[in-house]
Amino acid sequence: MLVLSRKVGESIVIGDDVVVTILEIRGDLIRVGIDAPKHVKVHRREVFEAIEAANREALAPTLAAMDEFASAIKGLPAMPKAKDPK
Amino acid sequence: MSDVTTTDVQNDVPVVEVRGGLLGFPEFTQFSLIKLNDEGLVYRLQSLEEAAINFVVVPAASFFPNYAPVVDDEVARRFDLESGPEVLLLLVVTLGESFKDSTVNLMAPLLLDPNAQIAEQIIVENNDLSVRTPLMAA
Repeated sequence: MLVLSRKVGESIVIGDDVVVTILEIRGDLIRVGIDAPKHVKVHRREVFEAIEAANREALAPTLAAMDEFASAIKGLPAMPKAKDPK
Repeated sequence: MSDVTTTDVQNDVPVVEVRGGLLGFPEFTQFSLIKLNDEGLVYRLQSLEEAAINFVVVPAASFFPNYAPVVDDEVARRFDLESGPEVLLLLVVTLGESFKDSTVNLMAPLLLDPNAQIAEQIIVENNDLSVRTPLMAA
């Protein structure tokens, strides 16, 4: 891992068009500003990892589990019926 | 920031390109969306590239009528959310031991344009949503 020391107000440029700026340090909280093109997705790592973990958990349910789920839903009372698309 | 209004799909969508793949599975982008019950309340999202990559998804509107995900402007622009309601929000389901233990991911729904056959798993801007919300809390 590349390790750089920066002061408040200083920046790091990543690639051609991503700029990370240290905005403020208050105790153990560091505010970071990120300028990136819109197609670059920027997320808090823990959010990203939680979603990856949820996707892994959801992966490849057994056919039996899927069938049971589908029939359980069918048996639910007062489920709003999906509208016709047109 | 934009709110999302949605439509429904009643039929299978044989080929859906999930742009960028599902988070954690970026290498799989070609899927088929297969209806698992007549009412269109459950679908299987099946990779066309790898049989082991499949998920159960449900239309958000059918289970969480008050679900109001906020998406960033770039996503809204990509899906043209301003001009047309022709998108579907699908929630990835983690099947539990029994139906009542099943959870859905409200933080990262799939946004599907059934006409363009393009989808994307987006991360919503709302801070109060969970990746494991009981389906029966609906």
